[in-house]
Amino acid sequence: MSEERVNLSKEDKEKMLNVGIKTKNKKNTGSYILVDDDIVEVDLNLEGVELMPIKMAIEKYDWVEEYMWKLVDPEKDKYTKMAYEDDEPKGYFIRVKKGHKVTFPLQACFYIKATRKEQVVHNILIAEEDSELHIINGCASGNYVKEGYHIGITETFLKKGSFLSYTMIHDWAPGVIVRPRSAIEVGENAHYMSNYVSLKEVKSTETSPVVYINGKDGKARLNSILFAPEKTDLFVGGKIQLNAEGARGDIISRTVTNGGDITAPVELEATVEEVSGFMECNGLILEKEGRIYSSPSLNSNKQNVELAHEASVGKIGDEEIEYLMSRGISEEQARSLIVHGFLDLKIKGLPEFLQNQIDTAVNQSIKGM
Amino acid sequence: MKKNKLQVKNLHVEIENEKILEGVNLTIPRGETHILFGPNGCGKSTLLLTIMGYPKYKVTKGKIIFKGKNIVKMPLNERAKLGIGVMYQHPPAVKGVALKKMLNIISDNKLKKKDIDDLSLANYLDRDLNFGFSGGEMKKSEIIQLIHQNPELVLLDEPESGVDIENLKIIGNKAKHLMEKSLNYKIKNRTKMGLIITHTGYILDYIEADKAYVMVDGRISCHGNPHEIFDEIQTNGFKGCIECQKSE
Repeated sequence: MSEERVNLSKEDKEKMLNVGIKTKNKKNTGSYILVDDDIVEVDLNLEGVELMPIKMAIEKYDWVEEYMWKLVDPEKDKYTKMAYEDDEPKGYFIRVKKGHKVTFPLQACFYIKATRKEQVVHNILIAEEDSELHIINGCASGNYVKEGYHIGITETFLKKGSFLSYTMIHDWAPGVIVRPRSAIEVGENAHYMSNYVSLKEVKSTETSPVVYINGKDGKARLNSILFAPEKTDLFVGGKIQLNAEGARGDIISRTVTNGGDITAPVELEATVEEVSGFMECNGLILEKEGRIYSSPSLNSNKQNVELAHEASVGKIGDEEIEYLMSRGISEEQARSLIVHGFLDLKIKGLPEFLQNQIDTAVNQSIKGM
Repeated sequence: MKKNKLQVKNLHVEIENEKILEGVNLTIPRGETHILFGPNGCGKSTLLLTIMGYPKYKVTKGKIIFKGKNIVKMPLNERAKLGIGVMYQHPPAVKGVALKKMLNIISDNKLKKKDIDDLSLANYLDRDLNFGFSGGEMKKSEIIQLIHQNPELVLLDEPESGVDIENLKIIGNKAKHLMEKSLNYKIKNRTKMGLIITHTGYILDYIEADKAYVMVDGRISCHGNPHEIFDEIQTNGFKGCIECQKSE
């Protein structure tokens, strides 16, 4: 498990940096890097946290397999089937033990180097009682990769009183197809936060994580920041099922298309009384050819629930552009200021380092607009 | 320096094929501030926004000469760079662009802390431009942007509307200073030009104006001493001005 086995070029390392991943970074408390099918880095220097390849975890603990396929149905589609039938599961196992709170993020990276590669991973994350953990998951590929598949199953379990944030930054190559299948179980008074950031050209991404809030007063928040250049097809949905009293779900999405296609079906479902949730989906269309299909839906058969949503899709107003121009700013700069401001989502409760990673990714993509 | 004046010559402007201005003539020499009175809908704001360069206002005839150049075809941002700035009556909210960011961009990162404090805007710096601002806050945001832009030709569109007396005093004094009308500037050294639209005339208590015009139906119907004209309007309304234009 060393870097010598897989030769990472300067370009590969730069692409990893774009998604917030540093190789051989001693400052990091934990690191897992998978290139194609090879694990090139597993580093952990932290009390109370376990990070290892899923295969190793299955050998070490007999209970790990009980968590696999608990939240995601292997029969869901051909990608889940493919992952289910994989005898050599790649991916990682991360566990933060009871009472341990770690604010510096663990980094995980899935990288595709070889063309026509089908990278299939299965990840298990467990936050035990009263623990806290932040994970940055960078997904990228070499720009030279003409074709590739990334299929990722991630099942996450938050026990009572825990807090887990999961930040994903994507930077795939134009020929790559991405199919993550994620599900999360949130326990009593636990708090899950996901930040999904995809700002670069990718052939097709299709993901729709489902969060089950099964514990009283559990909270979940799904944030997504999406920018679709030409030839990019993003399907980024999400669902939070509120299954326990006091549960709270929030879904925030900011989508911008500059010629690409974005579909964002999100849902809040209340199955019990005394739950609440809010969705805010705002989209900007910069080019005529781009398309945003935003469909927030609220689903409840209970009376005493508070669910609401706010959605908008439109272009940048001429009035705003002209106003900025009248202060001496060029039209181009005015547009990028507005788009930047639109995507610049400040996430409450997210460690500064992760917010900075998101901000950097947004800044980079706006520069290249 | 002589060229440093604004001349509007026989200006005709249309919006969506509707004639709004029909032959406006005025000259603002360097160091002078002029006032524009007129009933609602007569074309005052159109004149200001046409000088600024809003593409929606189509100039069909005439010239706008600023610093010796006919700027009729110059884009908005270039006119701003040349030294024209507007304080808007109803500025749009720009979500995602914080006031501080805007001030830094337009002043090349030279924030004027004293002016920000004088206008009690410190707590608004991180807020999105004009987003959820009250009438008074909006005017303060406008004047602070103009202070950072520091234009040579200052155009104020109803600076007093929606502002309480206390805030008007602060805004009025800031505008006065910006237009080099305060005592800090000797008359002979003044170079700034100003054009102010006002309905209430309150702004005249702060800024000593040199000349006033009355605009009726897209034309300047008369000009004269600002206080005299304002007194006339207060006594007789715009009736006298309309008759005056008819008799021409």
